[in-house]
Amino acid sequence: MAIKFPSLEFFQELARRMEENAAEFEKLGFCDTVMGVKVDGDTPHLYALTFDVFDCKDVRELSSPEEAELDFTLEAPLPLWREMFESIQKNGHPEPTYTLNSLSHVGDRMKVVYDDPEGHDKLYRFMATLQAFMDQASDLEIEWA
Amino acid sequence: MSYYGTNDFSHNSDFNLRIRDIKKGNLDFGWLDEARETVEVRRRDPRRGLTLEDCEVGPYAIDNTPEIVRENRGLAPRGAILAEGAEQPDLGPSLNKKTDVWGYRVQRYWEEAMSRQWNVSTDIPWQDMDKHEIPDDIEIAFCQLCTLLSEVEMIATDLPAKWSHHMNSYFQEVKGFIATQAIDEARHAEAFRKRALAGAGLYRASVRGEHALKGILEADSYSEGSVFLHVLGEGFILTLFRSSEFISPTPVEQRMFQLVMQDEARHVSYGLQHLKYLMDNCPEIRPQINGFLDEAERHLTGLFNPDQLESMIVLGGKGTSPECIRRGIEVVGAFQGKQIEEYFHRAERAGLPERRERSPLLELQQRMIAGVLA
Amino acid sequence: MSYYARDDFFNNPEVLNRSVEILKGHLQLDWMKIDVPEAGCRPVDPRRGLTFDDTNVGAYGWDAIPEKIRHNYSMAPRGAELPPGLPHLGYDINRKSEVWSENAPALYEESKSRHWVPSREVPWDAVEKVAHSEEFERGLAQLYTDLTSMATCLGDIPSKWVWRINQEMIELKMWQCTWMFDAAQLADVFRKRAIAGGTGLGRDHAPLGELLKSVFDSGNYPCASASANLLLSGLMQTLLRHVGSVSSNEADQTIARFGVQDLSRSLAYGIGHMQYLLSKRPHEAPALSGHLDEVENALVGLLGGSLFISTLALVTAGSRAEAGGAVPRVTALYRVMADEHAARRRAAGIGSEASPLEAFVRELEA
Repeated sequence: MAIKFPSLEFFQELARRMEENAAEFEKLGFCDTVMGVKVDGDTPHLYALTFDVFDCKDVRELSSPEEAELDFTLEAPLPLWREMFESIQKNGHPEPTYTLNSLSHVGDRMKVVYDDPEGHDKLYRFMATLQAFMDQASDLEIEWA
Repeated sequence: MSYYGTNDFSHNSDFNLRIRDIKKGNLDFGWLDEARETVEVRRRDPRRGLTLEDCEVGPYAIDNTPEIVRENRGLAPRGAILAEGAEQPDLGPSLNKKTDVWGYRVQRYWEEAMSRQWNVSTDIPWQDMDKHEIPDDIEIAFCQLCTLLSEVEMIATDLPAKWSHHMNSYFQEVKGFIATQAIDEARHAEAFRKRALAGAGLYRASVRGEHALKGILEADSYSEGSVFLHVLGEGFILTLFRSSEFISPTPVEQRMFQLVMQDEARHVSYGLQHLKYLMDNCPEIRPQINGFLDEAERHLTGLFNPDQLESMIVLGGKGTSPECIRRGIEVVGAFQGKQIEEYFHRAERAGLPERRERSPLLELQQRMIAGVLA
Repeated sequence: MSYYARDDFFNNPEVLNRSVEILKGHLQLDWMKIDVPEAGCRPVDPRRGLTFDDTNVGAYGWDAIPEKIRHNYSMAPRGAELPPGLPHLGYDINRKSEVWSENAPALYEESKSRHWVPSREVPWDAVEKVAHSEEFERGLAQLYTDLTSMATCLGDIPSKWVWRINQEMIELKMWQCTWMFDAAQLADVFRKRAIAGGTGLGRDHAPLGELLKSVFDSGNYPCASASANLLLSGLMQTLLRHVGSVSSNEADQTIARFGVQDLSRSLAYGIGHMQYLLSKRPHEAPALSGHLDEVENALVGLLGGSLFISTLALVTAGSRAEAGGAVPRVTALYRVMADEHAARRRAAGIGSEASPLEAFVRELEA
């Protein structure tokens, strides 16, 4: 059954798959961060993903960033999120230009919004885990908004 | 020259008498008669296991340790009952103030480092290298970049090693964390060396870069070395790793940078928290740190050496044609701006907002922009 | 700031102009034309991945390191082109035999692949509900306290020396980083174990401090290596094997098993290092042997020290009441330690006819 993007259910499904693939994430190590994901469009959506040890233990939709203590937020328009997930679905992992790092780095197609530099650095400290989390969508049937 | 203990036990009659007594089964259990405070330590989260923070109770907690450790001159762990001062051999630790080494959250960084170790030999998909065709100029540029990176990474093992054995054993968390840094950085040098040797080989070392490394290694104090290495140097290298992942020729290199980036970010975080702890608890050191950074930032310009700059441009633009070079310059220009901006932001958060005003880095950047526009 | 570069690159117009020219698109790309030795290394055994052995080729390999390194005092990686003007990074250990062991690159690979995480892999729930008596736990906690100090000392040795070693010996330096890391991990797990048992850390004591100071203050790297890797690691390994045999607690069993593995790598390096050194410089054997005899003297002070031997007797017997009767079993443990240590010394080429440890154990056995 297709899952809509963006939606709470989409990230909950990634969190479920993360738990299902526990061995992969345990090998990558502890991951402790609250990451914001913002999907810009006619109706913007902001999600707070709380990573704790080896799991994504909480997924929430926020009406404003102040509702959660986000370490950093990845912000991108819907078409870019779509391109990223389509790239992941093509190979099981993204092509070089569609990794979280590449998208948020030079050119800033995806913006990293943060207040505290340590919160910002958590994106890099846990990069392999966060990328593997997104890669859980590789065989997910997605219904694009 | 070595240390010779106070006793030669082969000619010590007291000792020999005691041994005879021991052979008869006469043992001294005075230590067992001393009352010990019972502590209850439990794992707050079994998935993490038993962490250092779980053990922060009573006499074992760092918060119950004085700012200056005077009583321990040996290698006893924090919380052990110490031998009487006169009996205690002095191993000469010279970093005995908490502000000399401590950083907020260091216990967490230690646990994170332990749990996020990886293996260059097996976690990088070396077997996939032959699946990808890389043009010669790109491969050479990548190997030139790897040469620089394997050159600079070992400074971040040598600097912590240089200071760790001077740290009082009461600061075990910091000694432990910087030991994880030593192995992390050895792993990075290993990754870049192996990648170059799996490809076109090692290219040219960097004279100017080496002067910056010498500046780090020869810092007068651990804190100065840390602020140069962790906040300034590794902060810049972290952004360089991000860029390198961005311009990596194949998924093999991409995976390599993804993994090294994580370790580097952890080291930057510790450096930032040490600097913050220092600024919060020892504000009188501010002029000294600022004076040091004025020179350290000048040294750092050595990392912008021509070979590195050119190889990044070739990689960023994916070739050597004029169009590729133009595109590569855009990529490199953007990431250099980011390096400087992120450094100022970190310095500000650690309590040194004045870096933005007094740093020579912005002046250098402006001179370069003016030169390009002229 | 201690170091000011001879050339202030920041105010050097040539440096600025070159950067500006590059950013204008005028690249020289001269580095592309360097004639470097071919590499193209690949994993020989894919299960092991790309190991250092696979990269030990030509000018890049460790076989190419000369006994006396005269050509490079910088951090430039071995095999790279060395441009003129590279600074001296202050290395004062520049002779290969002073530090090298042929097994160091493989031990580095082994250490990475056998990494363990004490926080998670030790079954700490077994410590939360120990089944043994409180006095037995006090004995174990005292041993773990001693082991924490020993592990701290073990890690301080590479810390004290690695930054002084020439960068050409990169695989060796990397091995020393794993050694530092393994020791830090052992110090962490021993301290946690002592605290978690409920009776807390034990007592620091002078004979232990004397031993550790003798190791720490070894006057040169070969002496430090012999005393830390052969003697101290050997002592710790024996103690952990003993803990594994006297405590049925699953956490102690796990710590003993993993700890013994880590320490055995140090022993292997120590023997390999001495063998390599003495194959090149056999005249150093008497000095090394004499140093090790001195450190053995300090070890005797520890082994015969009241606190240490009573602790061992207690954990061996299981209770204070029966500890006196356990002295022969502790002596037997010391015999194992002395025999193994002597065998390692002989294998390393620094056997001793005047070993204080052997004399001490004989005295106990008499």
